[in-house]
Amino acid sequence: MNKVARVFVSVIVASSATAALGQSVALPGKKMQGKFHLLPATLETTQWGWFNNAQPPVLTVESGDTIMMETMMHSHNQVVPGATIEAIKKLRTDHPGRGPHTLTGPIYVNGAEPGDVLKVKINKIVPRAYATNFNVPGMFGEFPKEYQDGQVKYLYLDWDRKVTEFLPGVLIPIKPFPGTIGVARKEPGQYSSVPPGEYAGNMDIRDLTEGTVLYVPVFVPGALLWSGDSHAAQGNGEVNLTAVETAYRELNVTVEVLKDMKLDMPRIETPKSWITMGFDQDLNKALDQVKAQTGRFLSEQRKLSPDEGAKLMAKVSDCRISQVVNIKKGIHCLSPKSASTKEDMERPTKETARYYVTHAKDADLNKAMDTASMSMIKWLESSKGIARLDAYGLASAAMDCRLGDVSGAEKNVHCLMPKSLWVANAGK
Amino acid sequence: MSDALALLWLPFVLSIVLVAIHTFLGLQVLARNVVFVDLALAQIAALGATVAFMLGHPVSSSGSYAYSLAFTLAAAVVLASTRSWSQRVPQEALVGVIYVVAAAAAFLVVEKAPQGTEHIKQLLTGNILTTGAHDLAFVTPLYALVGCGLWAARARLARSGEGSSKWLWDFFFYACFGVVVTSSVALAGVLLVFSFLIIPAAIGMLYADGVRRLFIGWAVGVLASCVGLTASYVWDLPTGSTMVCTFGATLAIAGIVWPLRSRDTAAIVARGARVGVALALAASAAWIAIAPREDQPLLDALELVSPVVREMYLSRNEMQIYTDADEYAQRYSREADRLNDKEAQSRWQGEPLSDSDVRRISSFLQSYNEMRRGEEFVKREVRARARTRVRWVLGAVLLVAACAVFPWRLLNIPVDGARRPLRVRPQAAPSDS
Repeated sequence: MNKVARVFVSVIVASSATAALGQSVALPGKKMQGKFHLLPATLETTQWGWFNNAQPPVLTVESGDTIMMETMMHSHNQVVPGATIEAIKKLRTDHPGRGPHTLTGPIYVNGAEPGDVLKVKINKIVPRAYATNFNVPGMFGEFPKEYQDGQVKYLYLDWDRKVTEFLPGVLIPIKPFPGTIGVARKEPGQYSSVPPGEYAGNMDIRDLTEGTVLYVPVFVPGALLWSGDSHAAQGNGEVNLTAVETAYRELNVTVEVLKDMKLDMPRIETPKSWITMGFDQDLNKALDQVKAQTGRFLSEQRKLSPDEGAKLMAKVSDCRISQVVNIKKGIHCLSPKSASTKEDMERPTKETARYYVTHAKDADLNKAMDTASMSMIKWLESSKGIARLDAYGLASAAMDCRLGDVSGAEKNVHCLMPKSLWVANAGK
Repeated sequence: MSDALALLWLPFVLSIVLVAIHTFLGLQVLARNVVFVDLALAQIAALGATVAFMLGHPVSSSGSYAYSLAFTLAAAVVLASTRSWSQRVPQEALVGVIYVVAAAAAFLVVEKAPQGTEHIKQLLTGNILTTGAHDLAFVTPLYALVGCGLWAARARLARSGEGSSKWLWDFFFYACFGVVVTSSVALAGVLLVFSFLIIPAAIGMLYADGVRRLFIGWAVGVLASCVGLTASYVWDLPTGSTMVCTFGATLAIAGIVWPLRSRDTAAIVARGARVGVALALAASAAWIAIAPREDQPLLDALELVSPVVREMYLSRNEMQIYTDADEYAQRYSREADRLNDKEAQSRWQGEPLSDSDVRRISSFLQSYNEMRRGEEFVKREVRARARTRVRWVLGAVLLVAACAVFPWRLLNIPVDGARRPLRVRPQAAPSDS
């Protein structure tokens, strides 16, 4: 464990005694541009289920500073054997509008004003060594009617091998990313942490991993940055509502206020690509939004007209269905940084050397997604002999649902399951 | 006066009173061989209280007490009337039936009642901590009267009479018993009353004869009550259940110590213990080789006593993960304790929390408990993986330990192959005393 990590662990392990808010620390020998801040997750430094732009900040930083924050898991222990659906529903209806997430923050960034863009670089993510995946019986997820029974799985995150054994012989690679990271809305009041939007929030985009950068428009002074809903891995679709859900012992981010950049929706920069996104309760409308965002990005990048940019999207951009369970469903598209290349456009309709595949097409993108993803779940049950709730959970944690051809009357969805997940003697 | 003393002195005095009368009754019950009559009568009293509760009488009211007593006296009539069955069918059979039917009837009665389950729990485990001085003032003279009556009639009760005389004295005993049980169950619950009745009396009978049994029972009962109440306070445990377990542990200790009074039997017990330990070690050796990821009770116990054992087979990296998970689990427990204190303090002192804050704390407690369980899962997983890796070595070590502990001389197989007689200690000559 390096010196920085040791300092952080010692602070957060002792945090219950001090109920520490964020702390600024000097790190000897560490050459960094800004200051360094530690933010443990405690009752005082976290919010439960709401974004509220009137929430007093738990930490104030300058543009260019680095924050080493801790996150918590959200509780799922209402999913216990014997708990009736009525009891679980009551738990939700007792707290209408509130999301399940525990969010660390808000962090006030000095100098950030409405109209600016906040650049958040994900420097490092270290999850705790455990995670869960669960299904709330009869509620939430893509198929609540079909899954009236619930289950919770605990998973050990093998950080040395960067895998977790979801089922005997089935290893999911660990690629941690914050399911929720975002700034305050411009509207006053309390808003559920569940739906994503122009403020980012619960995007559940699995490509937002270590080394990537989130650009998000600022709506209130100080931006007010939160993060939570920490994931160790997730399928594109997140069909049973949950990913490989964990907590982070360290989410290390550097924030910077960009005065010159203008955005109306968040964007993500990866080493090779730019990611644009669209959110809506209707997947067809989310597609329209992401098309507009991607078309605009490509036209800016390649000096094209907006129409030409939109047409180019079908040829160079790789679009995935991020999630279909967060009230507002999400689609994100990767477009190459290099103007001369194009993204991985593999859209198989049958099994390939690398993937098990299901495919569906429909005029309604929501139906196409439902059909393709349910086909994969049923295939896992029948061909791999996986129990139905395990199959639902595995699809949620590892299935990759990609947007296919959407130019005609029917829209195509391809759900892929990597064959590399099945490893003999995995746990040994 | 400290908080602990202020909270516990009244329950402790009540425990002394309960021990005094129940040990006395317990000796009679054991002599009559109707051990479970207390459970049956207590459950009948509980049924009476449940019926009263459903009819609108508050718990611990005089109405509730009257219903309990009426039900118990009716059961006493039944028990006294069926004593003659015992020549063909053991009376314990009827006692068992009364208990089961009374328990089932209580569940039926409260089936649709709000808080019904809580009421049943209350009847089973009671709440001796909430005892008031008025309870003590009521039961002390009542129990003294019953005790004096039974003491005065002890000769007639012991005599096996015939006909209506026998029925009358049986009814007298069961009626007295019912009066005591009705009052005690309302204060201490069915389970604790049974422990007061049987365990001190059983220990008294184990170690002495005559009236000394009563004094031993009283001493043991008072000691167990004191330990149980203290443990409940120190570890913040439910008082009734803690006291029942303490009484059970006291009986277990008495049972273990009893054969050790004689040097010969102590030697036999020691050899038996060595055989038991050796078999347990050998079974553990086989179990860890066959199923290293499953629970390993012996190894777990060894690690609990001496964590060094764990360090011997975990790698450095595994040990770091284990220690880290342990530290975080403790941290989450501390955080949960802090939130509980905050909520408790808001109730007793200072500003009350808003509904929103209480819900927030509730959510955090759930999250902390969940995360603590996650850390415990990590500890189990790391240990299971390490045990899988070193299962043959661990199995061999345990097997060697089993061989070292086993008393080979019991098998009487010398190294040279010749059989030698077992060395037997000379028996002491019987004395006149």
